[in-house]
Amino acid sequence: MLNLVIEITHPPYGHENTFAGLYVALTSLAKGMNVTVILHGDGIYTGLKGHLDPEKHINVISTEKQIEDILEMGGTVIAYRDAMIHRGVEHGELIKGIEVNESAELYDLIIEKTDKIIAF
Amino acid sequence: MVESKKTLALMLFAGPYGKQDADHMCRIAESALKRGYGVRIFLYGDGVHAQMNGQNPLSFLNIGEYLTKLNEMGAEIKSCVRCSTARGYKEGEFDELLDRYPSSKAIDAVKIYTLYSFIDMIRECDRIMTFGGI
Repeated sequence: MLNLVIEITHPPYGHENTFAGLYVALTSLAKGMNVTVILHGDGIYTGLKGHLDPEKHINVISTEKQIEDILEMGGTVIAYRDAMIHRGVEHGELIKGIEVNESAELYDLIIEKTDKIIAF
Repeated sequence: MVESKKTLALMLFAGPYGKQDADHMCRIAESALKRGYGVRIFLYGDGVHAQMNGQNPLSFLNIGEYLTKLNEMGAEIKSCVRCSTARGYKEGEFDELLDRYPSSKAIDAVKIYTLYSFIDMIRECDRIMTFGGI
């Protein structure tokens, strides 16, 4: 099975990048790939839980819902610990099911266990 | 020339002229094709604007013409139907004969397709590069 990493480097709603990247993750899971989403840089903000109905208020699909769907479909979502520390984000503030990794774990994942990476 | 034909997949997420990503992508695609590699391109997000008919930039390389040239050299080029619909390109349901969603606004070299075709590119390519994603 192909191991795909989708790297999210943008916050949830100011750009189309995050929605588009998570959409590729969902579609790849539906096609039977092994998918890991890495939240990196400002992408950490995409991992925050408790979005208040973005469909209703700003007419965009909830990226929180997309991440919950990815987890439900068997995907893995990882937040990069250093990026969290730099932004004052704590594990308890993240959507349930998101894992937090150190640099060494991420390097191991990317170098040893990943076939393709797509960055958004 | 490479012995067995390896394939490079390229995703364009930026429009044709606001950033240099489209220009970079096309140049890399041309180099790969000239070296005998297979090239598959997917236009995603604002990258679908690279398919617009009648581009006429005065000071930049014409990306529409460049994509047509790459297609003639053997590159497969597809664009996302969801993104193309949002931006007004799609003009009907999937046409089996044309092998694409029809659009008079898009150049012939680009086929508007579902996102599943991109997932196939990811699966089947040897390397993938993204332009305009970050």
